[in-house]
Amino acid sequence: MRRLPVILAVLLLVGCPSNNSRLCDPDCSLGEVCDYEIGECIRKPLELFEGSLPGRSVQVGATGNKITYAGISPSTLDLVAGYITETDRDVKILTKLTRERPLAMATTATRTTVIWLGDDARFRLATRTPDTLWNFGVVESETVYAGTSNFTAAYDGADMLFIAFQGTDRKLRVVSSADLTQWNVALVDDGGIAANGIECPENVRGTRRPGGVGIEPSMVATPDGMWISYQDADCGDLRLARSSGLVWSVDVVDTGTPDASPIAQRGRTGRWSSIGVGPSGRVGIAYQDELHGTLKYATPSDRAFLIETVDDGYELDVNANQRKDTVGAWAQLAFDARGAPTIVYMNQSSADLRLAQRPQDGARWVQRTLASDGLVGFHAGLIETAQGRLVISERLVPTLGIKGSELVEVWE
Amino acid sequence: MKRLLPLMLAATACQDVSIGVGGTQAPVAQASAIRIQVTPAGLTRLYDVNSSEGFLLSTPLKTIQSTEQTWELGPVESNLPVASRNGTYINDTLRVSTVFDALSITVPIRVRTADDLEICRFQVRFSSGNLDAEILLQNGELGSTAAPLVTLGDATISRVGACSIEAADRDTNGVPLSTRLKDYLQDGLVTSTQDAMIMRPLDTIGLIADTASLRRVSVFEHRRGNIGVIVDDSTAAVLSGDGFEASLGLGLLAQRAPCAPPVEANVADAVATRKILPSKIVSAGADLGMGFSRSALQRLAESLTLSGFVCRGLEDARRPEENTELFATDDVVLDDLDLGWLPVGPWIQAVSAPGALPTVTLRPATNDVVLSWDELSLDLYGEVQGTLVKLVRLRTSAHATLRPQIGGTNTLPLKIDALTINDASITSDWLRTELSPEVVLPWARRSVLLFLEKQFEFPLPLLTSNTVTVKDVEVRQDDVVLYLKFRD
Repeated sequence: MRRLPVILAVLLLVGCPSNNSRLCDPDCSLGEVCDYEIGECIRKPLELFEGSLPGRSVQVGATGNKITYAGISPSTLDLVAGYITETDRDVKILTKLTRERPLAMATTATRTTVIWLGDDARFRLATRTPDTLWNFGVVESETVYAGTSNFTAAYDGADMLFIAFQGTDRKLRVVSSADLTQWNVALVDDGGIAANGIECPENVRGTRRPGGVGIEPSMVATPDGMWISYQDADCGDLRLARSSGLVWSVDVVDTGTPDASPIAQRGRTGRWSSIGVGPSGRVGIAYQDELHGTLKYATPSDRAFLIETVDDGYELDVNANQRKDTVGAWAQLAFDARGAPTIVYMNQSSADLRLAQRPQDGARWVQRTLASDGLVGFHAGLIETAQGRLVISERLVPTLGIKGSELVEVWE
Repeated sequence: MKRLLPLMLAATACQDVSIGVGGTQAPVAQASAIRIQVTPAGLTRLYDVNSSEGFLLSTPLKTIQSTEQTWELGPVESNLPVASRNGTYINDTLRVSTVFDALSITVPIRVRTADDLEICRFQVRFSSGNLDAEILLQNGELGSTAAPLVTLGDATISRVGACSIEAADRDTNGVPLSTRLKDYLQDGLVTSTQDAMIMRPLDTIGLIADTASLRRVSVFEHRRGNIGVIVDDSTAAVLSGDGFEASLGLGLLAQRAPCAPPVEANVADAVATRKILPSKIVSAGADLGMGFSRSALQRLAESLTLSGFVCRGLEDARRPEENTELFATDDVVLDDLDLGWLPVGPWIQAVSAPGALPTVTLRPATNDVVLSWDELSLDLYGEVQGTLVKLVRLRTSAHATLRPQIGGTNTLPLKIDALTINDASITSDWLRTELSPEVVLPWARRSVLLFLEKQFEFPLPLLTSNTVTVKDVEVRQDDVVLYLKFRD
């Protein structure tokens, strides 16, 4: 405390506002800086991000015919975003974070929104159209909410933005807005018995860390409403929430395959879920069966679900031993123009980026390795456009220390 | 079928093993792969185990006619506390003496007249009791050869509660009821002793011959193993002055799991177990000795490897804090490998795959066992950015010196006395530079030790609900003998 006067004196001597300066009141919002000459907040000019794009928390989305990228530089904690092509990029530093955060991206034909979680557990937004600069905002609602790092976002057909997230109470909620200023919070899943009658026993609830419902949510807009897939971490189930107007209904899609042994009496599945909708309106969910280390794909069929194994992870090694790799982390699903479901994911045993596609209904899944140079597969992402496919991922370069995060781009 | 379970479960030390029926070609048994020796005193202990609630006196109803009345004695079902049992081998038979302190037996008597029924109770107290039975062995089963000798001390008979008859009342032959009661119990004790002396020692011990298949249950299909097992008791057991001796054959037929090395099991010469000296059992304070031949142990290790039991993986739904097969990341000391930036989570999981079959070497001089494993592969997984990824692959040859630990109840822990590592190599995408052997070997040794130290606590291969203590373990040239004692 004895040092406080000294510090204040130094600040007065070297501080930014001059004697003629005028402080901004109220404080400037996200994306603004105070112009001390006039005492007003003005749009903060965004710096161009130089150097190779980082792959941490990377997101891509298509806005019309443009592809938007967002990521975080782990060394500077800069959140960077902008348009990219195979040969060119226009990426700016949106803001500096206080620590690494997951990101979400939601796009329409004309709008891109990047979402992240602030230190106050409220979501932040940066939105732009091809013709405008980035506009920033905070998701504030009359209903108090507290988000966690498990969240996702999507626009519906009426350009209403939905952010689905697991709250600190371990329940799945949605906050939504049509104008990005007025927000409504709704409870989607409190972990109770699902509509299809499957429940997670009360004595299991709350026993896992992390736990609860809403782990790694993924959301898509369908003509019938918003669909959210996510894991129930307490029971290791894959769940699906569907909205019809303001009402949400929840089904348990997959409880995993239990085993006869005492150590695996219940399956453990539903991690890394990614939901997508094809041109015909058909919805699919890619996810990892955590216990088996396999990649799965589920499609709704009436009130049930068809579940198939996309990649079981079996490989023959050089000694003709059958090797079981663990696959399916960071699964991302998209449908190509023909409606073929395509999934990118990580082979965790070899740290490779893989792609699986089922060319047509009834055909078997075909898998291939997209990138195997170094440690790739983290933060995998995929978009299918009329021009082709872009697969992205983070490559870790451990020798570079904390800076060792590169973006892997595979354009096809 | 359940009878083989303990033997094989003991060998695997796995929670994820199940017993199944059929599906496996019957293997050829190695003769004398298992040997059981029970001392005469140990046999009396087995009788104690067999009748842990006491000596069961079971007498049928007996009708006696008196003037104008019918007396219906019994039936009696009563567990009598045994003071001691002794076994001595005399004249080619085992004499088992069961000694009681004062015996108190209540006998119900229904007193019937033409139009009435009265239920009375009489208590018969003997000052002492001794049951001597001569025991022979036939087809693996012990039993008395002739009517046991029942010697009872002075009897006191008293009526319990009100009743119209007294002990002094006589039947139509003039024999007092008191005499009838004593004779009734005497006869009952003879019959019950004959019943109590019938015992199959192998059944009581919990090691019984049968045929079965044993499967390892794994959520990973390629690790599902299957072993056909036969324990053959066609060689006649022997009862002698040394006690009970049985020699069992053991056959194992492994169905290769895809994760196992693509090699055939070695056709090792079958080595028979050798005689277990009763004096060793006595000096160990044990009831019995159970030996496993060197070739049976070798074959067992190979079969478990070939059938996938040794492939350990990530197929575990337990929470980390419940899972004893996880290592703390700090214990693995990844820093020693000078890996690059590696923000790894708190737990490391190991995936093991054998590249070759193990070799079991018995070392009588040091009373330990060396388990050698070439081309053992350990993949260590840790959580990076919330993703379980392979961090390091270790391939090495390991030679573990295992010392059996005594004092365990119903388990046989093996302590790793020494661990030698050869030809260790480490591959990892996280490595900054190539590692020198000076770095690799100590790290590999520590990691293998971490992995193995949790793998060698085996349940005793006995199907018994009794507490069995390992009093001693003797590693001999051709077999390993466990000296076991049933709880006092």
